[in-house]
Amino acid sequence: MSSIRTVWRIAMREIREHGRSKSFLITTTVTFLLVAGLVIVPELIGGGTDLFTVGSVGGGNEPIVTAAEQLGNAANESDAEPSVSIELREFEDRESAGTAMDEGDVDAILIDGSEVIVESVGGFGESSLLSLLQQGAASIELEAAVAQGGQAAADVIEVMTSDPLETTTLTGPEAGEDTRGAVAYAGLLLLYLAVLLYGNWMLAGVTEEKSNRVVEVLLSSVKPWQILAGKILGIGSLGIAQFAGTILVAFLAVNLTGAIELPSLDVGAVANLILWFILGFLLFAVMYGAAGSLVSRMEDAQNVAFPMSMIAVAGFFVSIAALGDPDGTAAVVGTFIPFTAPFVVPVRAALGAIPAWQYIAAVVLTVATIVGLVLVAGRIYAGGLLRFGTRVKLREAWRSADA
Amino acid sequence: MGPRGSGSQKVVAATPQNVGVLQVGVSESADRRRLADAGLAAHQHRPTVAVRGGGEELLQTLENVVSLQQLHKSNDGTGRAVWLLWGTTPILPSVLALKDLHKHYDDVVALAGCSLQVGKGRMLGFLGPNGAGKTTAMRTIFGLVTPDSGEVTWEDRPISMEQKRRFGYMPEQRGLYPKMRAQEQLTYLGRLRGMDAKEASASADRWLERLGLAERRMDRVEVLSHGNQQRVQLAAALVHDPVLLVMDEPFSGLDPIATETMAEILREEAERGKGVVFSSHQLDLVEDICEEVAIINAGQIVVEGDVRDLKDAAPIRHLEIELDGEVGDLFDTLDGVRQIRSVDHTHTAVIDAATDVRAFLTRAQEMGRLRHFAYTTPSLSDLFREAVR
Repeated sequence: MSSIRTVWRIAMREIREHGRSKSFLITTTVTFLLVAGLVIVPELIGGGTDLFTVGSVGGGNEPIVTAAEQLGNAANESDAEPSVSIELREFEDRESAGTAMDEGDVDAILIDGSEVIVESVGGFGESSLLSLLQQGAASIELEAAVAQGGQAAADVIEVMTSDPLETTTLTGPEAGEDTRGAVAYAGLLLLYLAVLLYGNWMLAGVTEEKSNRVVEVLLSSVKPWQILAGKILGIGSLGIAQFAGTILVAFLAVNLTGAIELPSLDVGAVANLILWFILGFLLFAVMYGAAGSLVSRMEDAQNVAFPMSMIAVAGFFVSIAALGDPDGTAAVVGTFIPFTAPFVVPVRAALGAIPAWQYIAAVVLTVATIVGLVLVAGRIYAGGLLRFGTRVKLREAWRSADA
Repeated sequence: MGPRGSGSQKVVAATPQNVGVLQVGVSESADRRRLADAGLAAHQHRPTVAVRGGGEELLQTLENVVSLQQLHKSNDGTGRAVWLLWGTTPILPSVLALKDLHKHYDDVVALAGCSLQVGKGRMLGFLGPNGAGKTTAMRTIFGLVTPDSGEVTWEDRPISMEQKRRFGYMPEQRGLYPKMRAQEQLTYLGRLRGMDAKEASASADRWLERLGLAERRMDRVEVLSHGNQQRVQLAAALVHDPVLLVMDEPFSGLDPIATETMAEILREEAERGKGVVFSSHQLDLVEDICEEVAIINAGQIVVEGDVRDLKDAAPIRHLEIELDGEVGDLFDTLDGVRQIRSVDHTHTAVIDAATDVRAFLTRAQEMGRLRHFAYTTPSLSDLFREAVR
């Protein structure tokens, strides 16, 4: 029987057994729901209008509220839904208005156009309302202060509430910087979670075979590298299926809600993510596999995998930095370190901030590192598998394997 | 091929170097019946031999033949005849050989020149105290341990991965995937050893049926009882119909019924021409089911051979009598007494093998009513204790 067929059969077992395990079905469902939720929920809560109710005692309050409303909606497009809507409710006196505020019916009280009462300063909704009201009152005073009367003051308010500077984006109008950033950030988060999740499957799978000793039966008819390769292939295939499924769910959710303009989630962006998912997964899977072979008990597995998890966390933080400054030193250095590249490069690529030669160099370096790791980790794996009991030292595993 | 071969099947076709062209058939049920008719018991390495004409002369050339008996002559005109051969030299060739293996871990010596042979159709009990090197020796067969020096061969060639897949292995530390279903697990292991899906699945079902697990075939291994998990483990070693069975402590932790089943299956596999080697601490059991043993101590084989021969060759005998009345100085008249133990009327003595006990028997009968008299070779336990001292 050829080696390829052996590897294939091992991979098929991983796919079948993992694929129908409860943990896989649960993580898949949860990830899909989470991603759909992340896209849909902000759309539901973020896009709407902030509704405020302001109690009014005495006269002179209405112009302030009108001005405040105008200021709150100043940044909106003319045909857009208003961001702020303020309702004015009349009260007989301070006390009745105060009672309404205690009951939460009004957010602020204006008295005679000269005093504002809020529950506290610095609260979340209140402070923005308070500052709107303050600015509104200021504009009314400005109006009064300008001698020429209504029209001039209205012009001043008009000037104050419009954008005096024209805004131009460097990357062109088709995809906003925010949208690209969001896609890059979401992709990074998925990559990071996927590498850790599937890396840990590798770790658990290898340690499990060792802890329940089935590995000795396997090794009586299969070579160590075939088990390692089969596991990586099997778990990797499942991982890619789950990862691609997650992207599809995100895509559908985006499509349904219209949260992000579709052209920004193009084929190139998805291919970029999948390529780096595969590279990142391979890199970490090989390391996690070798780490798993060093321990015989599940309890020890996390300890031995700690350095790998730290590398992934470091990569994550470097790429968060890259998200803010895709051309910065951290981002460029992270591009050329194969352990951080899987996190940094896709972010920079999604932001359109990586020169082609750097992208290619990063792919080549990462692939070369994977090849090197396969050789090293393969030997550690082979040496570690049949040494049961306490944690095997790297050097012992290396030595006890047959070259 | 089923766990039980058909009656007419000749399992082994081998060419022993010292015999010339012969077809050696390990006695299958039909042959064994003929042997029984002849008042003889069949032994795996004292097999019936089928020869084509002129076989008698050929058989005469065999060394160490004690007796030769023609069982039947075929009437089918092929000149095929079946002979029963009694001899001290097994005529079946060894196929598995461990040659002068050395292995050390840091300053612990695991194997110190261990050599061992296992033949097709032979069952070898591999004995030794804990830490003597049994598991290490067995692991070298599968390349799980690489010896510092020495080699392991199958039919005089180094063992390839392809060959290893035709071996069955039951490690001392049992191991199966706990979450996999029994039948699927066996099918998977069969496929890893090169069977196709249909073949592997059918064989898995056959073994589960044979081991009384047909109804649990789709249960996860983890929900099976300890005994049933052991059965699945046995099936895992047998599912691909291996030519050699290597089993590390197959009887440990088995209840008497399961022990019987295990022994029966090992015996059947040997009779079907497989090489079987297993380690055990249950010496009485080994004595019951094996004709051959090898005892390892401190990484070296110290005793190896046919159990009966080993016992015959032992320098001591056991003598046991039960006598109503006083024994007085009865034992003083016996030469070469090494040890005497008396409990009530039963007296057990270890004596030199050379001692003639006939006169002693006569005297014992004169002393009183002799209820019981036994003169036996030492047990395997005695040989073992002697060998590893």
